[in-house]
Amino acid sequence: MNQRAHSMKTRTVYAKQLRRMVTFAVMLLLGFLVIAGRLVYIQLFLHEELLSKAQEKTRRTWLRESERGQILDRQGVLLASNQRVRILCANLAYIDRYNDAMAKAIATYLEVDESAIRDRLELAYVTVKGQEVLDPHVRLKVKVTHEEFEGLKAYLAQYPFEEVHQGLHASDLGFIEKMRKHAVFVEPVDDFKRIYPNGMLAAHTLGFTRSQETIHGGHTVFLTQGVAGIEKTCDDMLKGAIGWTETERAPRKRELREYRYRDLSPRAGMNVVLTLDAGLQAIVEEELQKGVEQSHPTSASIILVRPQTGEILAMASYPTFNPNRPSTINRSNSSDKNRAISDQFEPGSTFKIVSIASALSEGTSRLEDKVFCENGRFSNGRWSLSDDHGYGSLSVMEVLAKSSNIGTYKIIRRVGENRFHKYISDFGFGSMTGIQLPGELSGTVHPVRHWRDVTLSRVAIGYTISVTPLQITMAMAAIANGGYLMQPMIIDRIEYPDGRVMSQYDPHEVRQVLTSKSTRQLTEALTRVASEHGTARRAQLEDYTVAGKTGTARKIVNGHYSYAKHLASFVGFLPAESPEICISVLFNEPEGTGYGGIHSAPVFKAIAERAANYLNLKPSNWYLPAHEMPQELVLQSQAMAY
Amino acid sequence: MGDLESKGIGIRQATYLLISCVTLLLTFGSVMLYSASMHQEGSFLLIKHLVYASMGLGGAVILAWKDYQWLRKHAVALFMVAVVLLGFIFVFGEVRNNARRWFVFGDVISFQPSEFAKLALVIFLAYYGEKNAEKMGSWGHGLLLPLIPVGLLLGLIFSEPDRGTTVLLAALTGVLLLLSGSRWSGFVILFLIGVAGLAYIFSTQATPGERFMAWLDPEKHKEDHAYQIWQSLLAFGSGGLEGMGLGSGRIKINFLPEQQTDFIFAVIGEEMGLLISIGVVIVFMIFVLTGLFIAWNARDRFGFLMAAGVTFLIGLQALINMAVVTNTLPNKGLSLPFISYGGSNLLFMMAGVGVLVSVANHSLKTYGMKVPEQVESNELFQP
Repeated sequence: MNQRAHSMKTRTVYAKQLRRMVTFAVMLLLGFLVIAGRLVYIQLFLHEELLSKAQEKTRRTWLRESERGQILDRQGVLLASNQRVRILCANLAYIDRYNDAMAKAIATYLEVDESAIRDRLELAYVTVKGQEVLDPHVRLKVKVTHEEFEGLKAYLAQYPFEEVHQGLHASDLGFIEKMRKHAVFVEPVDDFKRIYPNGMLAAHTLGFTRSQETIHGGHTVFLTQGVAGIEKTCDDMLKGAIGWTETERAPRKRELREYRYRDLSPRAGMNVVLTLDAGLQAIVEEELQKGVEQSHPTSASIILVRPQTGEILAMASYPTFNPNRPSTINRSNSSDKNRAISDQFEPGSTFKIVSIASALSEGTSRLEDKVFCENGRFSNGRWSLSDDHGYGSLSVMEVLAKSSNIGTYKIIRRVGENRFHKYISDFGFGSMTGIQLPGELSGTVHPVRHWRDVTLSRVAIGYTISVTPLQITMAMAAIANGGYLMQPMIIDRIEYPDGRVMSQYDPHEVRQVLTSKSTRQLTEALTRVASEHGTARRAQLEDYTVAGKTGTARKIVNGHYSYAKHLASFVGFLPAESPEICISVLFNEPEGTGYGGIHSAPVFKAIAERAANYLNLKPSNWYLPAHEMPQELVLQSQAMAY
Repeated sequence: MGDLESKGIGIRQATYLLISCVTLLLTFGSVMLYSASMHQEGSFLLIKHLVYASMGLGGAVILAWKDYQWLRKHAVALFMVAVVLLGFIFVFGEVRNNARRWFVFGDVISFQPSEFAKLALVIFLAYYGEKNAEKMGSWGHGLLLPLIPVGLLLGLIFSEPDRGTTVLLAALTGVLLLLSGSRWSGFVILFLIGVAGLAYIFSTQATPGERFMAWLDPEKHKEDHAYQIWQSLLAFGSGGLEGMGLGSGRIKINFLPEQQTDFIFAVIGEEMGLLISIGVVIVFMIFVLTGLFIAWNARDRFGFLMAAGVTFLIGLQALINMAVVTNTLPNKGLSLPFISYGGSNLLFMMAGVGVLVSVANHSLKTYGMKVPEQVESNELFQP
């Protein structure tokens, strides 16, 4: 009983203990109140500040590059397209002390500068959650295609790293195995590399692009911009509209898709369909290259147009470049210059077509009129004019065929300065043709009031004025098509990415320069040029009658006309009976005599022959006078018109 | 507390209130646990958590139903089991995050003996405090003698290392010994020794003062020492008054480490806002009040000490956890009871609640026994 009472006593709770419990309880509850106070402070008073700091970490804006429109030829052949590319990166943690060997391997495979890769693989440390680690994300190269990356991985998988470091432990071998697998990776960015599948084909017309890297919201964005050629003129249409994503991210998660709150997908650029024909372009470039190997000019250009519409079917310049690698453009000889539109020069004899055309059109001369050519030397006391070969009396037709300077002057003297100048302007000289390519020049035609006594004689034979190859080609095309100066066309149409036509460009007639009667006469005269009796024997074709004109312009060197440097040209069209193509071939400073008939005419012939086959043109002997032609042949010829 | 009684709140109501608090925390916690871990684990952690919760609930029901008197008989044995298990940790334990705290069975089942040790310590100290009730005033029985086994236990936990639990249990031991009747003076000395020890530990670290400075200015150190705490503050701050909405937290997604365990309160703050986060604080306060009310009305000194011990254990742990995540205290690894993910912790917290309810069920009031003279309420506030 007593013991039990004692037990009860020890088991009872003293007031002191309860008091202490209350003390502790008060302390604990005060602690909770402090926490509540802290919560109010953090969540209410620091809310704005902390929220914006949190959003700084989570919110991201990505620009998404749009796929640039393609450039196609008139048949749908891809001339410029895009390839999806990635950024090649390396994880230094997997490379560590093998960085030199790795730099060598990567540089060897990608054919890039080894020291640049080596610099990037320099062991750098970053702090991740308070720990110093080797940088797991080092950028090595942008615009790496999938094929290149896969190839690099395969290359690294068999690269002999072991031999680089002698005396390896088993753990080193394991490390190397891991390195082979994980050292390089690609960053998934929406990026495209502009590619020109046909390499250098039509390089000057297409132009090239430049990619600018900008950092936007911590992400790399590449904006592609057309720098030259169609890429430049059609840049606005080709580039489309960039996309825009405003979203949130978290570590180890690229994006928190559910919190994407603004999302504008990029709109792909329009496709540009050119008037070029890749087949003809290839023919032209091949023959240009052959001609260049023969004549070794400093520069050259060839243009092939359809006279009826002004569509440029092929256009090539030398020297040329590879638009896939704009960095290889040779600045010393301006290999990216589209010489067909941005070279201007004194045309020489090819300009006589304008002189004779104006005389025929004005009716001051007829083809069969005789002109006395002074046996090659003419002087009026103030200035003189000479021919390479002395001629006596020539008909107008022969003046053109033999390219007599004196004859031409005498013919144009009857037209007069003012009327002649009007024809020159009407043919489009002295003003830009308006072709949709950048860098076109207008040439120079001085106004008549600035002409001196001698000027008419010089202009008549293609001196003291300057023209571009395209201008002289379009002038010849005007003669071929019955007297209409056409605006040269390079863009056929603009298409939506799905192929629907957005806008179609139509041939545009600038003005009628000549009467069709005078062009018929002129064509007849020009056919004589490319005959046994003319300066362009080498331009003759077996099946087609060629109309054309040679030019051999002496170039000004140190203020004097040189006897060594020439501009050899030939401009012509065929079939003369019903012209389908007009070709100009221009060699600047070819080796040797520099005659247009020697350097340019054979190239013209080669191109004309292959182009006529390619286009399936009707041979000249098919053409009969219109009233003799059977009706089905008329229909057939219309159907066959390109 | 007398006031509460006089206002008619009986022990039954207090028990219901306590159970409601725990239920509320447990269910709300499960929801938040899923939200905190769904981005990384899906429902995996939630399911594990619910399994442990069910086991804990079963254990709690059994403990609540049984008279807690049996625990007195086994107090020493339980304590010894805890010490032995903690000792085994050094042999069989699994190292995670640079600490050896777990036994791991298979792939999914793991057991943390220090959680068991928490409850064992409370029971042991309650037993000791009751047994030596008359002698607690002396230096020997009141302070030095119990420090031997407790010191052994804390030493083992400290060496795991698990500083958070060590500090928590040291504080709890102080509270329980003082509730048992020990002198204040001894604890003042111990407290000073403890502070000196912590200062020494700080000074031996590679960057002394860095962590302390990081605590004072987390934004400046947000890239290294204060990374976690800065993320936690960002989470609370983003939440603001209304929160970002359940499941819509951003910081919880890989920014904030341990977001499903120690830092789950930050997820609550971010997603549910200030009202709910303060609500959680209030629920814990009610839990503490009801737990201590049960202790007050305990049938005997063992029940009193045990109920108070369990209440302070849970309350203190919650307080320290919340203080850490709000950067009120420097970082310690302690979870938030009933809400944080952690199987062993949940299991033994629930067991503790079972013990509490058992004390309530077998209290003076429920059995209609008279209040002993010593506990006349008017004595309480005498000087």
